Amino acid sequence: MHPRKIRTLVVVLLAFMLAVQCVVSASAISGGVSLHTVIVDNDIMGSIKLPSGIFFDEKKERLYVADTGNNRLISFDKDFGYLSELSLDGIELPLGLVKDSGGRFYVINGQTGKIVLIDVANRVVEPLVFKNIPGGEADFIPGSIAIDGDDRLYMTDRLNGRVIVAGVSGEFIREVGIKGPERNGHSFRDVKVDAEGNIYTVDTVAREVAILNKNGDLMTRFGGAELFDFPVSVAPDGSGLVYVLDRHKGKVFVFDRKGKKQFAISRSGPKEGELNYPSYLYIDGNMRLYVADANRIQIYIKEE
Amino acid sequence: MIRVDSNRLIILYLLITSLVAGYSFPEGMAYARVVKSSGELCFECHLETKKLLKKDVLHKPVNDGACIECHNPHTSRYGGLLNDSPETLCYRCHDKDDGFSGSVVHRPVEEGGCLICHDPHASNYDVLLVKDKEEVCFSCHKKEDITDKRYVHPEVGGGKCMTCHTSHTSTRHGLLIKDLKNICTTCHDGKGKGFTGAHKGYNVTKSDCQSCHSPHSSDRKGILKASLHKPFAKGNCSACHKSGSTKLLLDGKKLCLDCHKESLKSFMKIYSHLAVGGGNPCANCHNPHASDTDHLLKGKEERVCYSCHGDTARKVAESAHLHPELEKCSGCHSSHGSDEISFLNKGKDTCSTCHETQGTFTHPVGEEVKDPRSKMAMDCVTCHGPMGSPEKFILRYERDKELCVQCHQL
Repeated sequence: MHPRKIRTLVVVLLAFMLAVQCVVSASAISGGVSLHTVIVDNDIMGSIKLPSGIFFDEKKERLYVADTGNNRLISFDKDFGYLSELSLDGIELPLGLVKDSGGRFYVINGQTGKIVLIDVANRVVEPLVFKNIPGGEADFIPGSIAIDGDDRLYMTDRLNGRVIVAGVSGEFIREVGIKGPERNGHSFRDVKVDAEGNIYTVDTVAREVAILNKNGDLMTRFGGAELFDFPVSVAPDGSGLVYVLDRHKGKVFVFDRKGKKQFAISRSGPKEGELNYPSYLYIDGNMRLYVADANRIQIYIKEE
Repeated sequence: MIRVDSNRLIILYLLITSLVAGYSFPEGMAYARVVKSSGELCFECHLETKKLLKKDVLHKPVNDGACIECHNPHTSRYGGLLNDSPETLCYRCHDKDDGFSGSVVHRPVEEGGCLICHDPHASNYDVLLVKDKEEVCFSCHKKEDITDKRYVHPEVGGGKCMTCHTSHTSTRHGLLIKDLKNICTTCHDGKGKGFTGAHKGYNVTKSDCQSCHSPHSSDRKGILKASLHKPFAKGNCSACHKSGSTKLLLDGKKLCLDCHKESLKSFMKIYSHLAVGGGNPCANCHNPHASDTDHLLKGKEERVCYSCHGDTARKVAESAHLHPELEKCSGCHSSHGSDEISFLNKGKDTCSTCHETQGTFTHPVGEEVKDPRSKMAMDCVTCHGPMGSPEKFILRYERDKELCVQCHQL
């Protein structure tokens, strides 16, 4: 064969391999979802360590992150530029946070197992006292927190495998869980709530997602070892899809509300866009997907 | 020079061969005729095998003289001129779905090692066992390890393993013939005076006896397990139970934490085992009465951990290269809670607890050395996967081609 032809063949082959490589790389992020931003570190903020909670304030367009390993809360503007940090006694090992319509924060103190109310405007930082929780307040250790549009707090109970629903003043509203033979040792690791009041939970050990209606009745449950290795977080989006973060698989699996798998996002790994040791998943009103990874917040967007 | 067309030669060869064959084998007899039954014929040479016919129990094909059921008289790709691989041959007659496949399978069955326990030709023992049924299990399961304690379960001492276990497959862990709550009462009368007296009047007939008793042997009277919960050891049942009832004084976890107040702190970490399983989280891993392991674990540490971490167990089982002593999970991981990734005991210093010098003379590691891919501080697990890898030295990538270029781009 003529050397020129060989050269041409090699070039074509290399181009083909490069194209394949690109397709493979792109397949790490699929379902029309792509990586938008990665928040890792900067000189002012320093580095993030083992973040466990994320909340996006839709009104003020601010992102709040529970930087758990650094015992602080950090905030970002709408373009995810660093704004400030809050680090004070009472928010040791912040595992999760939400903000109510009045601008008050509710933060899980992982060291004490208490919810801390932070009212920045009135300079108040105090434990939220719960009233009438079944078993008493001592029998409730929150692990994850969510809030609905009516300012009701939804908190997983690490001690009892249930979700406690309470008002922002600490008044007990109801207890949600899977009861009877269906319970099967169910323990909730994460909780989210959608605009209709449906409650989304994930059980890591049972490898199962359970969706309950606003009355706490079980609507759907799906999972198992065929689907998940180590699901740690769940989040609904506004279009009826349910996103499940699997730490050991390094993926976000997306299902419809009946549990039918749609697509998966990302893959396990240390590179940007990949998931290293993820802990928490959050979806904002603009369909942006936030994943708290080992030392970074990865933000994915759903393309139109 | 004479040039010979090779095609013509081949046609000539085939023509001659077919003519000769046609002459040798008259119509209706185009194969060798066996003049004797295969058994008779085989035993003319295999005299040692013929002697086996004198044994008490014969494998049916041997008894029928049907050697060719298992062996090919001419050629085979398997040892012993077997008709099939040793792993699959037996299942030609013995239906695999009929008692040889289940959720729990005896390892020899799983690996096709039927001949570990059975003789394929003849035996003086039932079901063609290679040894007396009281001895055959101890060929692999060392008797001295099972019956080395002072008090031995009589059935175990007598080698009557099949009283509790099945030999091929079971739906229950340990190949048990019944579930743990019912197996002991097959022999032990739970309503007898001696039984209730020994249990201080508590009705334990619906309990899992193995939660307190070793099934094989123990140095404690009553074959109790080696480590006892303090109140249990003192016979102070009412410390936890309502008098005369198996009901607890308090909700399980409250009861545990009432005494073990300090333990709760060990769970109040970023990563916590507190939420595991619902119910009483303590009882997910610990036995409140007795155990043969440290810290009153419900079983061997590895088994307790893998009961929830099934995906890790699977990865370990499938990995070609493993970190030694993986069965000792607590060597590297905290069992209650940790502020470190993967529940590590000492974070990035966990590895150097044993590997004292590696961090000082190999690739730089530590807070100052960042992994360019993730911007995380480099440590041992940046390159090594301690829970198993297909690569040597439990490396995450092949060291000659892939490993270094993950960070050091050409």
